[in-house]
Amino acid sequence: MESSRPIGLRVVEVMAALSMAIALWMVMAYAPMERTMGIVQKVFYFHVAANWLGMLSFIIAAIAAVIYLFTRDRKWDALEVAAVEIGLVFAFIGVVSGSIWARPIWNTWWTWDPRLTTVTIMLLVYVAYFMLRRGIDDPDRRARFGAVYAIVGMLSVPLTFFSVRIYRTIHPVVVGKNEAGAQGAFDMTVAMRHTLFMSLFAFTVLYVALLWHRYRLGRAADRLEEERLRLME
Amino acid sequence: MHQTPDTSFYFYLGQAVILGGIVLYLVSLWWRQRELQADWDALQAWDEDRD
Repeated sequence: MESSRPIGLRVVEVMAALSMAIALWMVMAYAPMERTMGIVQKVFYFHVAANWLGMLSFIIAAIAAVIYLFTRDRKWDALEVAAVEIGLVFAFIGVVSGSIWARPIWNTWWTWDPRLTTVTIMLLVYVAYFMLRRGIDDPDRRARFGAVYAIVGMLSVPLTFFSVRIYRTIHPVVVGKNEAGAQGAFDMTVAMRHTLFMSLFAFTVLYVALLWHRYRLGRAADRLEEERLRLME
Repeated sequence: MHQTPDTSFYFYLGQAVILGGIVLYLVSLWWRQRELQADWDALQAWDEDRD
């Protein structure tokens, strides 16, 4: 059962730690302070990166689900579960950090703005994914139902992403034109752009390391389940 | 003259939530790996005892 980490994973771990350290330094020391909002604007860098990972992860889960349905190879099911779990973690971190930013900028922790509403729907859709899986004992049936759900659930991702571009909203838009009523929007300087791209890069490398670890954990759980069934026969 | 507001409490709270959340998830991965290994060892020990 116990197997050492492959060299590729070790390399990704080191890269993730280094790039996260650089991104954190850039947020703290390199990026300039925005005048209107003050230092809380700097939450933006990791908030955007966390939400990027949430959405990326749900798309990867849907791709793994499609491949699983074609191949019926359980390794794709393990990847799908890993991606949904990590996506949920980062989407939740994104929501909480956004709420903390909103308190001094919007003067409230929460408002039912289209972006906040759609991201809440997206979170609930993926929480329900795990509830569905827990309700099914047969591993193949569980994987099949989970795959179909992950594909359908992925529809909530573009809905969340485009909500600030389609509906009237107070949530700022990073790429594209802000609504007239957007509160907390700002023009990015070159140093701000560098910091944002470094944060996106660092979080993406961290994501690869986390996904790899969680995938290995899922495969180990599958092996344990198979071994248990074999010994019971 | 414009005065930049002091929002440092919310900034540090936000950073702590983000980085703390990542660290907590790493701990949960390590913990589950440990539990899984313990279950595997217990299963192997049970199998050996049965033989």
